[in-house]
Amino acid sequence: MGEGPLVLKLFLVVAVVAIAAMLLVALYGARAPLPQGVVNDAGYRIRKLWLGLVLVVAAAAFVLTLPFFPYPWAQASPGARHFEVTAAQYAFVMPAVVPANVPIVFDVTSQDVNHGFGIYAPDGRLFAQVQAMPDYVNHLPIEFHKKGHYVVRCLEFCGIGHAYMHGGFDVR
Amino acid sequence: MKIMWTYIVAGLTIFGLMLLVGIGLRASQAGWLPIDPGTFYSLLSLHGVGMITAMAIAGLGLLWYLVDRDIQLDARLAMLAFVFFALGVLAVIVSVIFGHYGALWTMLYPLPFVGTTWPSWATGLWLIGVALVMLGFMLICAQLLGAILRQYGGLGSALGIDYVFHRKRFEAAGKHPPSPQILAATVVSIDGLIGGASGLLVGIAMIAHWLDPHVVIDPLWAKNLTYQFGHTFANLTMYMAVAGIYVALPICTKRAYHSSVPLVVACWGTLVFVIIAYFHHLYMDFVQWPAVQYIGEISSYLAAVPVVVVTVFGGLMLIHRSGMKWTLGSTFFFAGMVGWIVGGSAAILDATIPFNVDLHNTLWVPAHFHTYLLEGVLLFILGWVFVSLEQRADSSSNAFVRWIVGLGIFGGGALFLIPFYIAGAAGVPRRYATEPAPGPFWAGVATLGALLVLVGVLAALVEGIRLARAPAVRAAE
Amino acid sequence: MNRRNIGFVVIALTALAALVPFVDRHAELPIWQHHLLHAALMAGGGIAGILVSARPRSTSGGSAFWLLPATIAPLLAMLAMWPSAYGYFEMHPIGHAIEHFTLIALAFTATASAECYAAGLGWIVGGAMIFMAVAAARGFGVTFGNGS
Repeated sequence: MGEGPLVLKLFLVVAVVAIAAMLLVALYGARAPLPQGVVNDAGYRIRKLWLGLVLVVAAAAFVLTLPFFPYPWAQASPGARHFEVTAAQYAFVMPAVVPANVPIVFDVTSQDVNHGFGIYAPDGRLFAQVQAMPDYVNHLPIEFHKKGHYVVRCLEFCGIGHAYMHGGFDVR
Repeated sequence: MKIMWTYIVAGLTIFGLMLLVGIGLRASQAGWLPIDPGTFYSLLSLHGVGMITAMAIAGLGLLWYLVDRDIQLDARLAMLAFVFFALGVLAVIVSVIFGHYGALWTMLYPLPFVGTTWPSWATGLWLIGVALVMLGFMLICAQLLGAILRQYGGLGSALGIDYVFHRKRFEAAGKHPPSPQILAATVVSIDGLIGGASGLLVGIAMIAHWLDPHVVIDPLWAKNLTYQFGHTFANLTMYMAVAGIYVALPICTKRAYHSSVPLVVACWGTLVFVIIAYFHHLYMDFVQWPAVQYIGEISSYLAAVPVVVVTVFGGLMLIHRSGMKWTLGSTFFFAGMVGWIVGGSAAILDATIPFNVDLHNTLWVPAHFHTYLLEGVLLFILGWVFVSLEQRADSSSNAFVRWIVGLGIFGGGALFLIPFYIAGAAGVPRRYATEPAPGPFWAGVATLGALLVLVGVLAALVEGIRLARAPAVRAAE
Repeated sequence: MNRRNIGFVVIALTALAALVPFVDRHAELPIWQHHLLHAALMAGGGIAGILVSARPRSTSGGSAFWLLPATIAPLLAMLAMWPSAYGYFEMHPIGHAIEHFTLIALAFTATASAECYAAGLGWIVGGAMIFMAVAAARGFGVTFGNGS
């Protein structure tokens, strides 16, 4: 999906807010201690609201992400063209060209060990991925809207040549 | 006491050695240290298994000591388990140093048997070494759980079920719920036995395949069991160390921390979600049974609820306006909670399936677990060590030492961790001996950060030795 | 009939079931079904182990070293479920029956020694052991694939 940079921003916001809030709670009024009972009474009241908020955020996050699940059963692609991808130490056998702007499906498997089929968009962002496993075929439904050269890198440790296992295809 | 120090000192020693290995690996990725890929993956295998074993050994020592007041444990069994750990670590080291094993801790079947550059005996010895560590871990879990069952007369009371559902009757009878550290030990031991069973099953299957290649293994099955074990084991190191919060923070803040209904219920949640959250490791296996992908996301979210609503929230309530003195020990506990929340947030984002597409097996993964282990689990263990030493000597470190340790471990830690996140978000894969851009640049920054961490750790070591050699004013709490 | 006697009945019935290879000779089962049948035999041995060694719930119990057989016996049982040996055992009923008795004995040892240490622990150790034996059917010595 290529949303790595967005996730990084989200994370930085969450991390900074969390660190600031925790420092504030720990340091605020540190010089004027209160009895534990007073802190607890307020704390328990806040905790109920906090629990509600956490649960609502968790439920909302789950529901909102559902439409974006990458799986074949979640992304209907009837009539899509299938392309076979076979991974082996340390190369991919795959089509040189795939069509743009039509739903397609990669049928990904491996001849030896577990590999990862990671597709990087022309701008360098990780765009989609699926595992390449021996004995199994993983179906990756996808649609490319940007034309150009897509780099494929192995995204599951597969042995001494793992870092050099890459290839690519053109989207036209 | 003896068990605790044996385990913690052994764990921290392994940690120190693996820290050096880790710095070497990052420096190699930065292009500063010439390490060939074969050696790189051997050292990465050692670093991964070594670190998690180090955290587990130290965490178990801490947990053992904290629950030893409430339940009757047999120190001889802990020493026997320690022998298993030592033999396992030895086997792993021999396998890596002399055998050049390099299929990493995950060793997803059939990786350690196909296209290898090392002799078959190294794979076998590695498998046996890891199995011995698991066996030692299961022995401790069985001992903890058995002693808890004896003390509380059954799992129901050990988990506080009667306390939660029949509270009035329970309290009228003058009974008390299990202490927070006992609840942590119950979670660790039950989940540990389940995780250990998964790990040993796939481990035995791999050993069988090693001895007799006719024994085939289903790759998807092996992957599920490997991650069920791996995730549970790594996650439980935190719940071992967490017991330290429940005991040490009340000492630092001079406040009381008791089991409450929310804490007990939170433990039930943790007990369940730690076992099933591992499905998030298989999000990119589209052949996995669909339902568990959804369960993976939900349980990863819910696993965080007890942490943010009960444990860390409760820890902050203890600290807030308590007039706590910021010694090294108490600072480590506070910083550990911060690191836990930050690393946990990164984990939650990665456990969100649409984001996982962009992050799975990138440097984001080591980013989050290095945060969790280095700025979480390790700090709780160091926190406990320092609170004990400070209590014993009735003295604490001066501002200069605190600044050096703080800048090294927290400042250096941030400088070490942030590059992992940035490169991960840019799609740089993990476990690459040679990384594509912008990996090498950030590996360089991370190496500098890791060197600062090393300085902080050494300063803490010197300070720890100074405190340990100071005359004892009173027995440690 | 007390718990202990029920335990003896369970172990007798399980032992009888272990002799099936003599009756149903040359039965060629898929490995995964064979694993599941072994899991059932182990469940019999494990339950018997708990019933025979059960003691009243109390804080007293045996030595912590009971935990060593309780932890190791399930591992040995998994080794005794060596899948590539199943073909041989199907041709040799005596060996097959010995394998069955080994599995039952190991399961019995695991739960009985766990129970000797602490009442209730046998159920947990036994549960983990049966989980291993049942889970083995999905991938130990077999591979399924998704065939597409």
